[in-house]
Amino acid sequence: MHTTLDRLRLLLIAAVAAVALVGAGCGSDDDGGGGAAALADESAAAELTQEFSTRPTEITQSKPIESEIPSGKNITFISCGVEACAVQGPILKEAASKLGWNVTEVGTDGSPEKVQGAFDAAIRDGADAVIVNAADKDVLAKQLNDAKAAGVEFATCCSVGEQGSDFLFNIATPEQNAPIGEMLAAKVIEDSGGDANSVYVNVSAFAILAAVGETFNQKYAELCPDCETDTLEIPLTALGKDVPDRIVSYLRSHPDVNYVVLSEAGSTTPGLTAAIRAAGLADKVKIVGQGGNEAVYQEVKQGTILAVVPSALYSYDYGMVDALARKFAGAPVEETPPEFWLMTQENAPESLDGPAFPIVEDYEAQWSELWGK
Amino acid sequence: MSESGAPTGVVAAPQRGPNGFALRVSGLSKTFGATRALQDVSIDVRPGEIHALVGQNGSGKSTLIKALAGYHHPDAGAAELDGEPFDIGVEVPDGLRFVHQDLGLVLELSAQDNLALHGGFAKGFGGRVLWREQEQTTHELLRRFDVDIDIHQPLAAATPVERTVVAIAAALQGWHGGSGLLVLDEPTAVLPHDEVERLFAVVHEVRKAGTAVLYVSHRMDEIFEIADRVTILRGGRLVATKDVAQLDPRALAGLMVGEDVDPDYRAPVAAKPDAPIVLETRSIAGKWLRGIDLRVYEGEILGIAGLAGAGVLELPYVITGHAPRGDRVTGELRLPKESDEWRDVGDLKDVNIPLVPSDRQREGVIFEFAVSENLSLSILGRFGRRGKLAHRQEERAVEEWTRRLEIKTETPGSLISTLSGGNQQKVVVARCLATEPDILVLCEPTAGVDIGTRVAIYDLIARLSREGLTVIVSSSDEGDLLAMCTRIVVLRNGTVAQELDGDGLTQQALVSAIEGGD
Amino acid sequence: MTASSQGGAVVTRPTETAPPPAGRPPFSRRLAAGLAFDKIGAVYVWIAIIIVFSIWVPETFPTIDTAKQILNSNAITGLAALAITIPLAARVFDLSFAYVMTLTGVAVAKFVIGGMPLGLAVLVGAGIGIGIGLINAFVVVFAKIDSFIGTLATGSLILALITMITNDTPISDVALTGGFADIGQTDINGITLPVIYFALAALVIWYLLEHTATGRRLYATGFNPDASRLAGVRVDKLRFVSLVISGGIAGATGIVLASTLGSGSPTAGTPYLLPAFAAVFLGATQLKNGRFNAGGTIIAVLLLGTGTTGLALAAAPTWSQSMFVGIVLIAALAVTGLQRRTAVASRGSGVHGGGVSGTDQPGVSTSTNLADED
Repeated sequence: MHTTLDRLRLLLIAAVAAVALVGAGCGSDDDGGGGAAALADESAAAELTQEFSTRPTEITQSKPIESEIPSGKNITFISCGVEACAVQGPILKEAASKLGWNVTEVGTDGSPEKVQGAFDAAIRDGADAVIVNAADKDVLAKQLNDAKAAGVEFATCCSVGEQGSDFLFNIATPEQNAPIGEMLAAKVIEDSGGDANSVYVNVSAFAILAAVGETFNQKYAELCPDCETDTLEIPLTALGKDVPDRIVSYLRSHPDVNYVVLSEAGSTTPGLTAAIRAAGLADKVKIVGQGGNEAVYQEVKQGTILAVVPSALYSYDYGMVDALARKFAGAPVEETPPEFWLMTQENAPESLDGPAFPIVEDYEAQWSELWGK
Repeated sequence: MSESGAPTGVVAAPQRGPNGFALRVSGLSKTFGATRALQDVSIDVRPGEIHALVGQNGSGKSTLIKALAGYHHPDAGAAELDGEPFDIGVEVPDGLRFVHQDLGLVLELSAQDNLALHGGFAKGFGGRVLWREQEQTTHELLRRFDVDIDIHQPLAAATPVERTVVAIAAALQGWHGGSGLLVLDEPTAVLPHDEVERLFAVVHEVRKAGTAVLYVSHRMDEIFEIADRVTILRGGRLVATKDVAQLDPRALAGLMVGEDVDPDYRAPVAAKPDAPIVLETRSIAGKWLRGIDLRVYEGEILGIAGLAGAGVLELPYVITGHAPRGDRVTGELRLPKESDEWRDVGDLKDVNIPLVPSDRQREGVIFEFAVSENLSLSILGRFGRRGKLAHRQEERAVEEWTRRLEIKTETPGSLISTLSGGNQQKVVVARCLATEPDILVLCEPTAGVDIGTRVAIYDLIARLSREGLTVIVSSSDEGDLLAMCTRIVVLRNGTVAQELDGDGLTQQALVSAIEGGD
Repeated sequence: MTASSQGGAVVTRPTETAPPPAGRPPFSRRLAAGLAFDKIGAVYVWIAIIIVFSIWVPETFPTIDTAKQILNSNAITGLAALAITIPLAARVFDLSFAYVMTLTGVAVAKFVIGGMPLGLAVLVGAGIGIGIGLINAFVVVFAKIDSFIGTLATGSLILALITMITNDTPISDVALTGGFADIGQTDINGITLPVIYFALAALVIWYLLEHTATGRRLYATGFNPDASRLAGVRVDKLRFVSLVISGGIAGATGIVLASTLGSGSPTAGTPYLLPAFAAVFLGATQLKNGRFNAGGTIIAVLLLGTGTTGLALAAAPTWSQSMFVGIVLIAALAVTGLQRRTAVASRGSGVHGGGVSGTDQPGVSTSTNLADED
């Protein structure tokens, strides 16, 4: 259909192309290799990817705690019920036991009333500190106030809120998570040889990942201005139900896309690789993502998922315990980002026991050293 | 005597009360597709009159009532209530009240709530219900009809006649006599015979208060007892309107059917002498029964009669193994033809004594099923092997039974709801007979069945008996029992009080045995 | 017809002869009836949807790949819907099936990881499904608890079991990528195995409900248990067995589901609860006029699946899928119900008031009765 608008567009493109060709001919002395490949900064991408793929060997916290850390503290961990929360319970317990602390895990279904109720109960029962992951500071406003008044400390991870004013300690904040986007962008550009066309699958309900999408797009455009990218929104209600179908439908209606970037791999991968394979797209499309669980890590080892930035659950939990220790010991509490690592088939660890694994292999020794235990 | 076809118009009789009619309908016609349900039917009811409306199924009687009630929009016709014209089929004037066959009650609710459903609650500020006032109003209403029940108990606990009276009270709410018309559609269909008198008393009360009554019924003895005039419909047309005093049952039946019919029909079956015993019971006791020892002989048609509460309805269910699970039933039964052993009445699962239930709607017919599906349900195992249902075989069996019992249905695949009550009953009977039992038990076999089909059912039972089937009939309809049975056992207070057979089987003897007189 | 005499009085019977019951109406009329709106209204809606999407997204929608995609992404829903069709035919609700699906999935995943041979693990998993079905059957038939509430309760117990086994984390391991994954992930020319299972299950259930005595008795039990009992149908046994069957099918489906996900997920089955019921109820309005049936269920599942996939291909806003399901359900039910009400009313109008029964709806026209095909 040739509407006036279409004609205008054609004209504009022709003009730009003409200018570009002229500019190219006059200007740089680059080799005139095909279109996008010439403009991509492949070397930068490769360098970044190399850097990110190196497994961190040091935990992000480096300051030892000088003063005495009191023992016998009681921490209540209010679990949100989904796998990501359930996995953290044992890690918190492990960390706390080093300090001679006790962690009580309270299970909830994640609904506001239940979390509020558990929080109230914890304060009543005389907990020294409360940990709630992915906390909504508005929903818990009253409880946070009560906690402050009662002298109960609060630490969290993966929440939207200011450390210092809203929370004592928050790790994996939106800002801290931003580098993940860069890592994913770098990997995609590097792997594609500068010829990438990607779709960023976003679950907007996960607010803390918003920054990831932004940095992804920024780095992506920086490393490869001509590479295309688009966003596919997935509503929260589709999780567990028809995510694979939506992604496959997108891929079929956008046949040039060759990379799928998952903002949250754990919730969006079930059934995904099978559906892509059944649709005959397995050879055409590669998958990268953030987060993940045991199933995702398995797929990375198999090669059906290209790369993943795993959630650094060990650094979240040890970081939270560490912050509480500092607070109880009278030391200052600072922001500490988690570790990030771009895991691929090549550098994936041999044994991946359990749903979470520590990014830094000898984390225990390092934390113990900081704590003097 | 017998008239056929041509309407004869109203027979003049001295008019009572003020001038004009309570209800006057003229020239009512209604066609459904190819069927002319009503053709130019006129009927009038005088003030304070009890006017019966009779006609077989297909006569147009139900269409007429439904048109009055506003369900059907007639093609032609005019109507007046107390002299005021109204658009029949479209509007229902306030003075026109109905008690339909299903009574329109919610049995889980109490009498008070049911009345309030029809007439509204007494409300105070902010819509709050004024319970005490409501109670008083309810008591008053029911007192008018001489009903004494706990108005807070669910109506399911009340007796059928109490429920009917509550339905009448509900229909007459907010109306204070003097005019209008109450339509009672088969009010005695679910009432045992002894409770019918109670109902008549209520109807007389209604009439005394000045309301006319249009009384639709199958039961001729009732019409002769209560009605002043009767209108007969047949084939959608008005046959005649007569004074009841000028008719006798035979003439009335003849007008309804269109030819001579004997309402005192007796099926031609002779009691067989020296027949062996096919069923014997010992000390059967249950909710109502208090020790029944019974002997049933081969080839006889045994009737079970009695007042409500005597166990007349419980006994058939017990001996066929279908006593309600909550009731504690004890006793023993044996079938000498099969074995001499006595078995407990709680353990009759493999016994093949089919039961034709009294409540056809609830327990007899499966409305969502076709005629053929209803019929074949008891013998599904016979068609095909290893569980497969061979449809052709089923069709053939259904066809055969439909023919044998002369079931009138458009096709065997029609939904059973398209059949008349009598034909539905035939389907249920066919289903029972299909298992080739030695004994068949029927409860209230002609409830809701018009006179033509009723006679057909009598004949059918007689024929089956001649062919060797033993039949047990439990009924509150003396006509049924006398027409069908070779021997009648009368229950009173849960035990066998009297036995009638041979020459002793007369209406007087039966009635007095049931009532308990000597 | 006949005149018989008894003691002098001549008695005649009324002359209304019963016409011989009509044979089957001609094929053309049966065909017309079969294609009527009240039989397959949903199919017409489905065709309309296909046309709409073919115009909306002409490059991607009207292709074989789309058809395969729709089948692949709805096979599990179809299996779940078929699982509950049988008890629903007997008016028994099984609200625990979604949790049964989850349970067998995580259980078999655990068995396989623990080293059990795949075949044995699958058998044990299916056995678990049957076991839950037995528990449901005891609760509903012997304890006489209303099936709706009863299976909701057992569902809650199963949920507790699932949490005990999984601690709310998916069970995953490389061991699940071999034969276990093949169960649900193998595809033949683009069509995954679950579609085949779905087709087979549909065939079996169709046969059971249409062509066996048991199927007929199930319907009878559902429509009127009292009348069925009097007719010699073992009502309790049927209701018992129906729950065992639904548990078994749900159990098998759960294993297939876990295989497609490649893990034992503690939330795998939950999303299927509503879609399965929606499909079965919508399916009941098709083909069999109010009877739960396999064919109707298939139509319903595919109808809803076509719409959601079409919307995804058309890049419609994310909320559109849920809205679509709601609108289609209402539309298909309204179209079918509207047509059927008039047809039923015309078949059973006030003319044949039927003594004690008869419909209350105003007759529209008395159509000649077209035999309901079995």
